[in-house]
Amino acid sequence: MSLSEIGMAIFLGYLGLMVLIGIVCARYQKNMDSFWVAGRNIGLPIMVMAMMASVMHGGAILSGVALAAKDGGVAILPFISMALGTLIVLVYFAEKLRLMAGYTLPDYMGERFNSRFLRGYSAFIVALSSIIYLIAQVRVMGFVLQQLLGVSFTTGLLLGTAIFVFYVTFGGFLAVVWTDVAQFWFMWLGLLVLVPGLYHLVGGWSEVLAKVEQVAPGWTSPTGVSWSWTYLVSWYVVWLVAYATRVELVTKIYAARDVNVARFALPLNVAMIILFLLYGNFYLGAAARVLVWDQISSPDQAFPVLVTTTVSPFLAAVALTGIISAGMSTTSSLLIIAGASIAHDLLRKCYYEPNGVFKSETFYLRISRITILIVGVVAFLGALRTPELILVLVSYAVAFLGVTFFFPLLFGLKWKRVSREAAIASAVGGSVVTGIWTVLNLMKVPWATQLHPALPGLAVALVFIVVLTRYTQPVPRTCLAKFFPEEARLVSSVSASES
Amino acid sequence: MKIIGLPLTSFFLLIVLPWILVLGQFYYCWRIYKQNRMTGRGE
Repeated sequence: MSLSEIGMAIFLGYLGLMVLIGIVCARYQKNMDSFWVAGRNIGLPIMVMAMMASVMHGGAILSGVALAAKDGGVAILPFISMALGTLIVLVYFAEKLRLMAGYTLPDYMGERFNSRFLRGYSAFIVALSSIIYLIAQVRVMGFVLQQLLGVSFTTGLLLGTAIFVFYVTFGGFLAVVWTDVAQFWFMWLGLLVLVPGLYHLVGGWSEVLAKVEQVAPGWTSPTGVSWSWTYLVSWYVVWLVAYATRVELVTKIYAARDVNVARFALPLNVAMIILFLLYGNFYLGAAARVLVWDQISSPDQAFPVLVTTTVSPFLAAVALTGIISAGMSTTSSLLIIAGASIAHDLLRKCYYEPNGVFKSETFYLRISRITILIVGVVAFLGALRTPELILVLVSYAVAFLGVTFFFPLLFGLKWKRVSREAAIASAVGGSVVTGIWTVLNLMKVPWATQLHPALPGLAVALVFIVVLTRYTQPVPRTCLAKFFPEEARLVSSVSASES
Repeated sequence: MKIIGLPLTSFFLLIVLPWILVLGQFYYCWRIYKQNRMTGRGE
């Protein structure tokens, strides 16, 4: 049997399982809590698997192997950024966000800084970033389905988009969590089946590193074959901020059964990702550089070509389905986040309820399902046309989130003094500067391309939040009570003495 | 000098530092967990 025949059988079985999970989970969707945060009842093992599956996007494997194959040791540092970014989430964000019992990051921005504008603006940034990120994920699926099923790129895109829109629309966050769990096992299986075949061809860890140093001197050094330390450090800062504000990760915290689950899930997630992605991508990248580098025209093809040329059609089909499942798990998380941003943050909290209009939960669920459908279609159309590389697209998407949320989260959860005006200026100023710099990057303006768009945006966001906090008034005590226990006690004692 | 095929800096960044960070995070979680149990703070 050929790869496309075996691939079709394995992929159809996998899709059947995902649709089944969507249908079963749809039976349990009763209200917004169950749709968007799975009833806040997710325990530790499921939480770790769901976090890992949604953080490990398809591009993380496909373009991670591509980056390692092309540049070598450079591929190490994003994971150090991830470990440090998670440390920030753990120490500063996890407990307070879980206790706040919101649904989304715009919920935090609106409630902490007592600003309807900030909630709406944050929802817009989350939706925008999710669409850019989705375009990258959908493109990964298009590339892999092309290899796996032997279909055209457009057909692969259409098939993938249709299936994940279906199960997220019907099954909500519960379906996302349970499909993440199924996809977690597919991802592991997908990479582990490659090990014996590749070991036979290139040898173990030390052997493959010795071979890759012969064909690409300097590959094993931290700066790889071509990067400078300065560019490496700027790249590292971008990913540090990006990992600390990853909405797929932070949103999962809202769904944890309690604060302990939210906390312990984070280092477990990092440990699994280090084992899986850091060491996996490094080994596979070295193997790709040694075995197939001469056969490919773009680094993004390194993993699919390595798989299809070095192992049997059956194992190649399993490995490629594993990559698709990594892409789908992230995509489904992003879709649910985009749906929540529009239905919950923009329509409900910024428009209907402030104007005294109270709609039923069924209404908001219907809106979020329609939003998911529209976002899926937009991502599909974007993926058909975009000329950018996957990794570049992902870095733009995380840059917008990072510059908007990083300082309002970091300072806003630590210091009561941070004011509404400072948070608005930081979020808007940072994201506008990043947006302008991204356009300059896309226009290939030479001086702008020397710096990632996130860095100037972060600098502006930091200056605005620090300077304006000094000259403006903090938000009222009642708004701080959800995030600072001492303020909650003060507010309740004042109201008790008044009554 | 190389250890398991890696220069010393790469060995530190790839093998040593990630696990120091992970263990540090576990220690932090465990310390808070024990502290909350001892003070009887319900979570």
